[in-house]
Amino acid sequence: MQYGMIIDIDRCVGCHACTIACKAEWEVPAQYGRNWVHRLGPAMTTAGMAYTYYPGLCNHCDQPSCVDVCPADPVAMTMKDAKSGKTVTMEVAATWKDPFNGTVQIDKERCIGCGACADACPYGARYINEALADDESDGKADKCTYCMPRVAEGLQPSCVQTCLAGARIFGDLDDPKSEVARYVKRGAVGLSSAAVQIGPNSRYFGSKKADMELLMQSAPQEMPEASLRRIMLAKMTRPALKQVKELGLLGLAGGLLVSGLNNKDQE
Amino acid sequence: MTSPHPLPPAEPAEEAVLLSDVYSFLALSMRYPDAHFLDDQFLEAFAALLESLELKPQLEEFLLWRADSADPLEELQLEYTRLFINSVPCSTVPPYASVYLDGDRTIQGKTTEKTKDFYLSCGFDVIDSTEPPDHLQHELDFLAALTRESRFEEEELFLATLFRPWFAQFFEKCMHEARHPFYRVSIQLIDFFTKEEQ
Amino acid sequence: MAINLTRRRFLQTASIAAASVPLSKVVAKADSEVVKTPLIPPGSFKDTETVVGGVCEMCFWRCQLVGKVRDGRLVKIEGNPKSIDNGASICARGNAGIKMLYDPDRLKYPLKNVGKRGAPQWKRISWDEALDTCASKLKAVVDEHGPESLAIFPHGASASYPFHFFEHTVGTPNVSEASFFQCRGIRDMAYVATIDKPPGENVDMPNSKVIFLLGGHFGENVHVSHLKRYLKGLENGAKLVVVDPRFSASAAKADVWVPIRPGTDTAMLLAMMNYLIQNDKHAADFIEEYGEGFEEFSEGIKEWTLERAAAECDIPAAQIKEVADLLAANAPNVAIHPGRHVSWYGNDFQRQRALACLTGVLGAFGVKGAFVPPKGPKGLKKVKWPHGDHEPDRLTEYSDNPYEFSPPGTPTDLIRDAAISGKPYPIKGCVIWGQNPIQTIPNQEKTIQMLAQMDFVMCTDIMPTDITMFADILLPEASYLERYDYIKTGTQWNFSDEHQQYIAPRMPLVDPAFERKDGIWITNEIARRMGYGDQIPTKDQVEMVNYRLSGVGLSIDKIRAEGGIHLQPGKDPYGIPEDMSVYFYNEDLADADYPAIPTYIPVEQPPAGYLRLLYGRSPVHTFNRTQNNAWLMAAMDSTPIWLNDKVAAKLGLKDGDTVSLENQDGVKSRTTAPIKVTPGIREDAVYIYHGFGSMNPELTVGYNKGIDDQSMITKLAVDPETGCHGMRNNFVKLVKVS
Repeated sequence: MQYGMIIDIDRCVGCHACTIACKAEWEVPAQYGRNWVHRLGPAMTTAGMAYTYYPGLCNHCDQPSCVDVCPADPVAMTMKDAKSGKTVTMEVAATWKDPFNGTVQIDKERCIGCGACADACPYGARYINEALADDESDGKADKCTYCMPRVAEGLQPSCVQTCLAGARIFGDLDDPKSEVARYVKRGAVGLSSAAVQIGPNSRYFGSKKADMELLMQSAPQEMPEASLRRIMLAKMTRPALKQVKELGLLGLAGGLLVSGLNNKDQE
Repeated sequence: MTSPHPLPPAEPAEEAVLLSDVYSFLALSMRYPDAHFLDDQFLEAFAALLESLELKPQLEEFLLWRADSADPLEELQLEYTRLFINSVPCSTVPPYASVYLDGDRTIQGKTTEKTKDFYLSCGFDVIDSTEPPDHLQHELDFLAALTRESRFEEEELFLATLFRPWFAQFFEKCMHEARHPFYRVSIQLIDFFTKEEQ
Repeated sequence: MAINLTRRRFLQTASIAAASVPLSKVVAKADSEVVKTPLIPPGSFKDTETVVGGVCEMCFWRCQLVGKVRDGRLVKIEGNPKSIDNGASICARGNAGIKMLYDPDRLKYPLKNVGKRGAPQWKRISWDEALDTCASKLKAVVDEHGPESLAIFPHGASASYPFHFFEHTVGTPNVSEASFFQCRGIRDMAYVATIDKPPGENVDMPNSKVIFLLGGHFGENVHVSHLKRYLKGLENGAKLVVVDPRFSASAAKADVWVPIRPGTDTAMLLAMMNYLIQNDKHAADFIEEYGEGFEEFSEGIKEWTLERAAAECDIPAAQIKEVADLLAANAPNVAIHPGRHVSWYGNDFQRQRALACLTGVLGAFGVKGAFVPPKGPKGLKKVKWPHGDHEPDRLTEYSDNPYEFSPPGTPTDLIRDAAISGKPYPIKGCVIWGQNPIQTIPNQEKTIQMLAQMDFVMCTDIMPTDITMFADILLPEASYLERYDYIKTGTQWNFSDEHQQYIAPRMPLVDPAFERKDGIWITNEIARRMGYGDQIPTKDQVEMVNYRLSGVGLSIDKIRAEGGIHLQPGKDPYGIPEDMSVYFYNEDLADADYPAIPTYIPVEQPPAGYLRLLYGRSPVHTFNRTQNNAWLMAAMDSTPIWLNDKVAAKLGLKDGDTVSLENQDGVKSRTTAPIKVTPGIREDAVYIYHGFGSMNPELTVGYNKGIDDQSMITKLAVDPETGCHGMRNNFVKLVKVS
């Protein structure tokens, strides 16, 4: 099973309701978004003038670049298939791809807020929510979950429910009878490019060549440079943090370490 | 967060009552001034508080204002409105915790819920008020209620987890915007009485 | 402050007796568990109660809502799943309603202005003092100068009750509703003069073969069920024709985009009709049966050849022909959309008449896909303020132009000019209720002059909008989420579905906070204090709604139990009423010396170096009403200035450059905005969103964001038949800032 979302840009009218419904559902701070609508054009394309929209969200990719970079200590986690009840136990860091439904999720309890995953996403789908800072972190990574907690209750994702155009369709891409799979057959594609091919599962359908040409210009053209140094530093910092904590100097030393990190990253 | 300041377990009862009175008094100073409480007696008590804290310049400024003011009540009403309700040009500093803690400046946010829950867990509630539970006035009233019963651990917990995190931001803004000595000093007094002991 | 003591030392040594205060506000209640708020927001569906009966008013389409309420806090608003109108869908603004509800900048208490109008110094006062002041000041104005000396500027559902009190019972005719005089009044009156009824947006788009939009920019203009109808039509294969100087969101979905020269639409419509008639492509049978004055009409528009219109409209004659042929080939199942905001150029009544006549020429009434009014529920009772015996002295009696086709009320400029000049009579009291005339009415300077000479100005609103800076007394109103008032009725949006009707009275989703009050209460209290206590038609908001519902055997409680919406079987809306007439030639217009057949009146074109300022809707904003909403402003917080790419190259401007605007009268915008360079707009115009650039600093989110289009509209155009404003006749140049 692989959950996916289709956005039918023939139907989308660019009303932005999806973005605001998401904010309300998950109390997302105004300056961030788990999803977004970029207004594209009017601009000339090889197929004439186009004015369309890029309603973006996490792609819950087949090969998510955000998962492997997470420096949080892996723990054994038992996942359950909602349908069959089957379970599987995996070693996962604070973010992982669910083996049963294909979504990419975050354990906020264990997220250290280092931002490595946000840096690694070529779509800019993740952000660090400072409002969720705790004693262990300056914030938590956050992004679209395909509304799994709502789906578990039998509800549609919030953005899908509110879409007046019926332009957002959610379902199992692996089920050939599903509407999303039928859209894929008709040509719904993810935003990929020569350099970025990580199997996005949020896909776009449009019958007008001009619209699709304009939309595809929003596909990321390069993978973000894997900030290995940052990941390493984040990993190294954790034992150091623990030691410092034991010394009772957490506030002071933690602050210094974090600011040192930021400086290096900006070089 | 640093450890709670070490009030001895057997805080003398009269100290608790005094602290409670001070909180109550400061709560009143954060209420919209009306003639029911904002009278000469109130203003004299305010002066007495400044005197006992040895705040001489503040006291002098306050007494000077009282001597000059034809209508202290009206003046304070105007300043309260300007500072806490509506003002042009805008210098309003909303006295609600949620505005500072819940992102996007919101009234009635998650913090408001948490604050109310805290009150309830201690056996208190705000009723019959047009202001939400996380209005500064109510938080001070709550602190007064706790200290009156010598519940200093709960007081300390409330101060550390819910009060200081927003009040510190509010305080900065207020000190920047407040013009009237009464409110400048009141806010400083609140800061003083709610700060952890050094 | 240097406090030498510590708190502890103070407590140990202090000798003062601080005022002892009973803790009457804080009373003990039963102990309860402390609930630790989880780190992660739990979602609107967790531990919430679903409250039914919401009716949106972020805009005026009024979708039906439910609220998700946790511990008295409204955490999310959703479409009411029982709705046959919007369903579970609501737009961005509807979703953002909670940010309005809990905005710290919202009005909370009655305020008295102890400073100046326009530069207020506020003082919170009690409701008693506020109401006493409003009543005594308004009464003093009426006693001294007569009821006509009151000017009323209402907007929104809650404004009807108070303005009917002032209009009917107190007796002033000087009411200027923004929805009429700066919006759709022209459309309504032009259709009344053509088919005897205002048209709404009643075209059966889901079942149309062609949808024809003149300026309609759906998607940027968002009304949920209206968009559903439009999208269903497109899904069902309707061809879409969009006439717009700009490549709008609708133009982007169109089969034919007609980039017409602004102000010339009537010429195109006349040429289309003339071509259809000359080539025998008109609906002759329909016209024979229902048309009035068709001969005068067809004779009168003969001069409008395709070529002449093409030259006037700056579009190819072939394109006009293509559109006309497309419509004729699919007639009568075509939707000629009447538009909504149509106060554009000061020649708008004629254009709207031409649209109605085009519908008639195509016979596109009463059949699938054509103009088809819904058959909604009937029988709701009315609550009416009684008419006094005062015969109002109308300003139109003194005017050179009597504006005989004016919508209800009095043309705005007659009121404003009378107030400023004191002639023919003084206007000294002003009641503004939910309207923001600063950003509604062109020429802000005149509006401010009008307000400056008033003896008394009262405002009721939910937000500190620009106009509220001019109030003497400012009253805080309960918002649409906190009150009863309007009863929304209608039918299922697609006439191909089972015919159903609905009745949805607005019910509060939460209680009003602070000292906000509903409009019924406020009006009654003022009326009582002005001496009209015996005329009050209803005790309170609940009684009013229940009385109205009693006409159809319903009540608030009954509908709440039904999930907030009452559904009942509907009626087939198709068919042409027996008494239907289409007045191609209108004798009443002739008698009043107006053009009796639709007539093109050219408008001034931009002088060299200037571009026509066009404005329109942002999909996430409603005029200026949503400009302080943190979520909506995060989505769109400025007014990108659409500028043609060739013009930009000539002017040396690049996409993203920041500019201010200066109009033909030398008026400069207070604020700036970025340029959006695009081939999607004509070379003679620029386009921005309406409603930005608020000047009231109390709006801490919206203050000075983007450019206020209304501030650039200083040259007035008034539609001669209706007295409504035309607001697209001003020209600007761009001044680069950075």
